[in-house]
Amino acid sequence: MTTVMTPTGGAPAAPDPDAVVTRPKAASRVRKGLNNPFASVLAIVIGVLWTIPTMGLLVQSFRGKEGQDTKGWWTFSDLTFGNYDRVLSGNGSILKNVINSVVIVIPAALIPIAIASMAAYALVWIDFKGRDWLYVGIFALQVVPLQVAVVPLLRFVVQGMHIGNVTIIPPTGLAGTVGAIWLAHSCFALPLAIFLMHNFMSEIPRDLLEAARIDGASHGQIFRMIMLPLLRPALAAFGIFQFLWVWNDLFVGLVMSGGDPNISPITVSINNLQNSTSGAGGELLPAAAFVSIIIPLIVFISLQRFFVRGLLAGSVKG
Amino acid sequence: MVAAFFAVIGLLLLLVDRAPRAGREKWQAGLFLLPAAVLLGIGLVGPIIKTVISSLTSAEVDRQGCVPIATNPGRCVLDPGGSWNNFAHFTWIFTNGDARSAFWNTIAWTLIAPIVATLIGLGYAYAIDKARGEGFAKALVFLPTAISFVGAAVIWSLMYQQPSQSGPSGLVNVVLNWFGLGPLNFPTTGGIKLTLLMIVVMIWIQAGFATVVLSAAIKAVPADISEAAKIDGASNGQAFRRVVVPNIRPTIVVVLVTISVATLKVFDLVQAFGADRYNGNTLANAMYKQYRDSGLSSGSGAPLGEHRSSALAMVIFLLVIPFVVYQVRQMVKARASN
Amino acid sequence: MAEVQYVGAYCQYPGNPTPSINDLNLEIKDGEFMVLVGPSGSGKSTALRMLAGLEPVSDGEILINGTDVSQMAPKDRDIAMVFQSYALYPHMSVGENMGFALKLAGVSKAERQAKVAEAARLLNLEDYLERKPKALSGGQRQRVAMGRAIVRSPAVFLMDEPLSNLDAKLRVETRSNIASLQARLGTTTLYVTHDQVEAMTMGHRVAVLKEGGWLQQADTPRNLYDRPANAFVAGFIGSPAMNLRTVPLVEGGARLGNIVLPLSPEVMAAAQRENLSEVILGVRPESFMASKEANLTKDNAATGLKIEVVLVEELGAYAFVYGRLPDDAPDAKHYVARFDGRVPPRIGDTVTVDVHTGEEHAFHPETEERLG
Repeated sequence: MTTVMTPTGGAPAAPDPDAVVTRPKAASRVRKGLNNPFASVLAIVIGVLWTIPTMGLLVQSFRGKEGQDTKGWWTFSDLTFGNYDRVLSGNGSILKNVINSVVIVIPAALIPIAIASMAAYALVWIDFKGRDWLYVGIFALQVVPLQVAVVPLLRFVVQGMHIGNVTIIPPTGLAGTVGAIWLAHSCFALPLAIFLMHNFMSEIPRDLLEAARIDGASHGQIFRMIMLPLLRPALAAFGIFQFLWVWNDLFVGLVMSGGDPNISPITVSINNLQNSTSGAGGELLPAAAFVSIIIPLIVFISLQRFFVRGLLAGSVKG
Repeated sequence: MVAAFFAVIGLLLLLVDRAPRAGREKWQAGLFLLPAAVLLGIGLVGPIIKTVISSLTSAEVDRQGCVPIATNPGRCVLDPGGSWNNFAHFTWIFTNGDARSAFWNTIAWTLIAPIVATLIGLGYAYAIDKARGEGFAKALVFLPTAISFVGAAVIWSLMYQQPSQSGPSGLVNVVLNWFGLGPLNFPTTGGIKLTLLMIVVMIWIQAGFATVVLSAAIKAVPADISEAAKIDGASNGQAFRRVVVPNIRPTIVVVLVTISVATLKVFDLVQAFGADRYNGNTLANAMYKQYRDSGLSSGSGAPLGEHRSSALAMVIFLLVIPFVVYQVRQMVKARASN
Repeated sequence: MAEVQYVGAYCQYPGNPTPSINDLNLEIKDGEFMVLVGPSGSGKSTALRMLAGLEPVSDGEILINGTDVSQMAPKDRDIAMVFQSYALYPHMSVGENMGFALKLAGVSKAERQAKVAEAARLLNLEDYLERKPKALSGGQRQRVAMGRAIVRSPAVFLMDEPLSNLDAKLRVETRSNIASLQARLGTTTLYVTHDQVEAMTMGHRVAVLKEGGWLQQADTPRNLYDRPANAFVAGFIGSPAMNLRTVPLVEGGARLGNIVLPLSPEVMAAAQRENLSEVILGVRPESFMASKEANLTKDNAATGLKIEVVLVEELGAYAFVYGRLPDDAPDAKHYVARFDGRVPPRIGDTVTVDVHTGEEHAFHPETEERLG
């Protein structure tokens, strides 16, 4: 999902970003679609196919070991809250990892937002040589596979930076802490965040900035008093994006935490449960997985508007 | 730590307004860009350089039992590594069975998942366009986007579950059984079949993204164009294929490219399915495996596994480059036309 | 209270081969309402924005009250600006918008409120101070933009096409409001517009710029109209535009179609001095009058200028007649004459017109400068 944003540029105007979704023309168009039998069948088949797997997990999570081991979930047999009881409390509770995920996700979303909006401000509103190339360069970083960067970043965190025997930067002291995970997520989110913020920010009319300059505002003041308030929808869009991405990430969490259960996010513990060969407690997996899914799902459903806005900002020409 | 971070940001914003007068704009731009530059430097640019070098140089060779070195008692370095080795790691990728199969698996992923997901997204977006309950229908397909790959792996393990003494069949096997088709043997079946079954999950996840973006594009096509086509005698379907689709082609390409890039980097899904044990690795997983098995190094050359994992990462990077070039060109074009 | 001087000012962007503003010399007197007008690409907005500090002054100086401000930041120039788009901060209320500059300048809250209230009273915005710009009509937004400028009591007002986003009726109304407000406040004002009616009605003086950023003439509206300094100004000011065409000089005047138009002795003398065989002859549409009797009889022997009517635009009070002169090439620019609206000719007619003596203009055929 890191690369969901794409380059065609033109974001919908920040103050009124729904314009793309609801063109005035669309309303006047004739209803069709489901009147076409082929289309209706296609829609229903896809809709059902896409829902069943999640449904299955939900049902399974409420079934006891006995039921899970003998009958398919569609029989709705052996329903119980027991799995959730065990998952959320007592031994083998994943609650700790849920908290870890929260601890990871909030700074990992806020830090890149702050840094990216500052960088985007300079890239859009301050004139300096090579500005456009710098932006293109940052944009291109967006498609660097995480895999390329994670291991060297981890080495940096653990060992600092050396050239030969000369220490340029000493070890950061972040090794083995959530700080390392924040750092990694912040770094990797930046190209996308800067791209998004750049798109939204260039939609703000230049006049507004010039008016502020004439009113006597400095760049710092313009950034704080004009840009940030105006960009709130964009900040929200990226925030949700980053929230989902970080919450759902396994790779970065796995490598940067070194698998330490005290700091590793929920995805790592689900992955361990899933891949555990012993089979003990396997009946808890659906419940645990559902707990891990439900939080982003709630965020996603309640803030879908912002999320779609961010998505479209990158993909559809405004 | 977070408070400290925001204190630094606040301080920077204050400094910005106290930049020296001469060349003030440059100073200010610099200060605004500084935090991003630092993070991009240590998080992306530096690592890329390091990975490139590491993929092209030899590993350190050490051996147990000779005169110990300080950082790693018990071992000593025979060859510190770090010298040019004539693409040996890349040669290894294409001669080693596991690495090679990871390469071809990745190609299969990238060829199939984006196209199928985009087609499904396009068809679904068209089918539900302006229908009653369109928003709900879209949400149904969009939901998997919010589900982690790990969660998706749990969900689909349940769907694919292999009938055994200890558990019932997954729904997919049950349905297959109705048609007299055998169980899937997921994930032990391995190889390309395993990869295809995982690609299905990727499509399940990505189709929602394609639907939402393409649906917005379809709505952005002025209604009068397809109305004109209908007056010219086209059916609904024809108007869509011949008029709407060509009009949203740029967006279709963007969706394809986006999903392709995501697919090239696929890691979590394979890892969570445990498919690495059955030849289902992609390049990213093979890379992780090499890295994990090698550990951190003592000398400058790093162990062999780390060099090999760098080479695998470089292969992913090289595969991504055409898409990068395409995206950058699109962006430059879009900016030029503004 | 301030006077503004552009002294040999240039504006050239790095990487652009030619400057956007060339050698601009213009003086705006204390309390004067100066209008900059010109076609698009003439750099009129650039000239204004140079004074604002939003565009670089690459050479020359701009003085406000004798101080060179060309390298100062906008906020240090004691100016206020009204933008074409109004550029109101969408997230601030009307009152906050108007008080923003004062807030940045560190003015106390009480004083700020007093000043905002005063400006709001002046502009009839008292009831809207709490609203967001989104909830205002176009005219109200325009007034807020004005208010934002007034609140600061700056030395100079800069206005960049402030009326072009209003509908026609409101524009006329606001036009006079701005003019009278300026007169009341007595603040030196530089006003940019592409609309020559705005320029002529509002400006104490009007400066005409030509494509490429060259100042042509800065003078009172009356003088611009009656004595345009060159063919460009002559063609730019007035609607429909002055008829301009290069005609040969003959004994006693200039040959136009079938007639010889007598030129004033000063023009003839100037032409002789320059050794010219032809001049650019300019006649405004309203400088023609129909030769009545000739018109009625369609008598080809009449003495006036013959025009073959190609198009008639009836505007009620009068009609503009577009036509060809005898011997005109088929693609020659049409000649325009104003007729009484009640007896307009019809397409295909040939009409005969006379020129009011002394209302013709003559320009040098190469330099296009006014002769005489």
